[in-house]
Amino acid sequence: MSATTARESTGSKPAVSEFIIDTDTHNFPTPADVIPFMPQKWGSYLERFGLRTVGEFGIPRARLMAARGDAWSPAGRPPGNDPEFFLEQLVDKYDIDATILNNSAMYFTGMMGGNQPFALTAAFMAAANDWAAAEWLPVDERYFSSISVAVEDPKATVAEIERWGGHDRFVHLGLPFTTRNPLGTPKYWPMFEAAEHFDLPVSMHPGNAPNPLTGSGWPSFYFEDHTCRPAPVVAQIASLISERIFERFPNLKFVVQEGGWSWVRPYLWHLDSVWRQLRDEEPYEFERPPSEYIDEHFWFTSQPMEEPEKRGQFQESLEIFGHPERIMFASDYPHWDFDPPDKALPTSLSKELREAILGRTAAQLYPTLPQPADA
Amino acid sequence: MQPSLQQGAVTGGWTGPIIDADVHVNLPSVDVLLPHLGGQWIEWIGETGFTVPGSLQTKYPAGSSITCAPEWRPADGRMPASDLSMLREDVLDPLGVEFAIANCYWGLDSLRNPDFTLALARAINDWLIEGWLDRDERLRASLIVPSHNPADAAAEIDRVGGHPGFVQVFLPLWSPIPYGNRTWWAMWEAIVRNDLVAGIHYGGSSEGPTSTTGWATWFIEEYAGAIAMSWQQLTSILGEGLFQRFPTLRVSLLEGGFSWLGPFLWRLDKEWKGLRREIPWVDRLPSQIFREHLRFSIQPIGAGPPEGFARVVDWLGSDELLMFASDYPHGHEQSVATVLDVLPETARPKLMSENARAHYRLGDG
Repeated sequence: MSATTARESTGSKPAVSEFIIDTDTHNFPTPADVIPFMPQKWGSYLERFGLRTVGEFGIPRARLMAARGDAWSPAGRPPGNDPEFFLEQLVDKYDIDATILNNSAMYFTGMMGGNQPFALTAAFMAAANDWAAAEWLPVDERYFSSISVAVEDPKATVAEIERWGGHDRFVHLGLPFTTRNPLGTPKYWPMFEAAEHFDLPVSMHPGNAPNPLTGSGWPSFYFEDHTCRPAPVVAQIASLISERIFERFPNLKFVVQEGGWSWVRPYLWHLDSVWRQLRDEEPYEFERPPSEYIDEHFWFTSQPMEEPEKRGQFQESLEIFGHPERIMFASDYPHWDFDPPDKALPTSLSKELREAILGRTAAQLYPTLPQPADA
Repeated sequence: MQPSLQQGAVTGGWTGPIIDADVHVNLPSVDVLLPHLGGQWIEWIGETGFTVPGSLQTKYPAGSSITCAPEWRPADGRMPASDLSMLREDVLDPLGVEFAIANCYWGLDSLRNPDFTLALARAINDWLIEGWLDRDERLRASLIVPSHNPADAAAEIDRVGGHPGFVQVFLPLWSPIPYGNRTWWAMWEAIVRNDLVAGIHYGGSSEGPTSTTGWATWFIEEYAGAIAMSWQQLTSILGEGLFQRFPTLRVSLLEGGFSWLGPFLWRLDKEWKGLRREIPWVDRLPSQIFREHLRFSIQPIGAGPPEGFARVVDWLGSDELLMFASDYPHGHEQSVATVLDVLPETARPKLMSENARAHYRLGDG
């Protein structure tokens, strides 16, 4: 399929179809893809020394590249690497109005670094953005991209946000769930200041700093890694609250992706309770309990969809979560646990909530994305 | 707001039988261990000026209400919960408990010298026997093991695990490597061989940062974030197949909360369906395995509004999982009444005594 037909297919969408924004899909740059966009010095370094950080790949993924077995393109390119095949297998197939390409560069410890020069990571992330801008966004107007940054390098991060923050099709900052320090740490404040300046939501998505995968060292199995994906979000929320990030940056928005949402309210009850008890640790006055900041500043995406045990518990969990319209559809294409938009949501949802989750909420959060016809 | 721990609030007005699944006893100072230590360690303590392992202050800051509720802080400046008479006057007598399970956390996990750590663990266990277990028949206790050497831990379990007062092995929540890892199996074998419960309790330290996203800074981050470490430890012991290798294994999660359990079990079951080929020994739904083998002490309760909290308690999917705990002398905001109020009448005696009685096999022989 050519880029031209892709654009035409958007225009000829049947009137009865649903408005769908897919907030979490992954394109994947190989080192060979990004080297042409890097300064010669670092491209050459990468060719000679490669990516040396082991990270989470000490734990083999259940599927190669954690991908669907059918996601290699006919040309043999790896999952998320062929923008035409991506259209065919996801965007056209499910008639999706817009998809956010969360650049995989930010979710591999090997690319984010740890055992590599900081300047190499900065050059890699900048090149990953240039690669997305050159190789993906022009292919189809339904493509939008995350901004990849060298998150542990504040100056490089701010420079990269400034480079793309005004670009309509770079729509959020793509952070990994785990950073080397909790996100409330002052070294991350310039990043938040820049994101707030450009009104860029900060997406948090599974991905690892070179820390062990638990607070007690490395687990053995991908099952452990994958089950406990929400664990770092617990720590990140407590850190953001403790360092008063939402008072420092009152318009900052976070999107938690692939972390679930049904655990969030019970955790916030606990956090509120502990906060009420421990206010003497913090010699300032919080304006409000932690849960109110999270309710105001956080969005969540749907995949992997929660699957409670008993009929009725999904509805209960939505009620306890408290603001189900803050959930946004995500497929996680091309990964093995892909959720298709026509099957991901329970049929028990009201029409209004289904529409909000499938696309309307994302259209509001990301104003440069396509808007529903009646907006 | 300070925790509300007036007389009666601890038990929520409950008047039936009570088993307290988590009370704490503290060392008044290292001096009480000297009679239980060999001469070289007494000399070593004298030479080094050693007083206490570092983790104690990290995990239980001395002045925090988490460490001691104001009502339970001795007016004369003594260490809270450091004397049997205090425990009797504050908890055992006024609550009328049938049994209380004493946990002694001193932070041994942060000591590196393996011989010194083992000597201290042995001394603490001997002190627990002599100073507490042998002096009040209502008391049961967790024995202490060194955190860095599973073989030493196993040997210590075999040394004192046969004492009828010890019903559990105290495993600090943070550990050098997740507890399911095969490195630990010699210790698990000893726990099972001695028919003891494995009590994973808030506390401990690892070889690295407190979370996978680095070092917590504020205490509240570490205390509230313990939820995540609980998920990871439980997933490790399940995923590594401990419940198949040791079918009689009993585990308690202590001072880790429970209101997160329903969503955690949902996620475990879903991931198991997708990934069980990687861990083929896990032959049933994780939720079934945990409901059979795992129990929780109730503090910190972490309740929200009653209607929502009632649903979250219903999501536990069993009325046999929760065990009343005063968590003396640690302070918490919410009383057990918060839980009693949302439980059906038939579940209340289970919460207050029966679940712990069955799990720890108390008073049945």
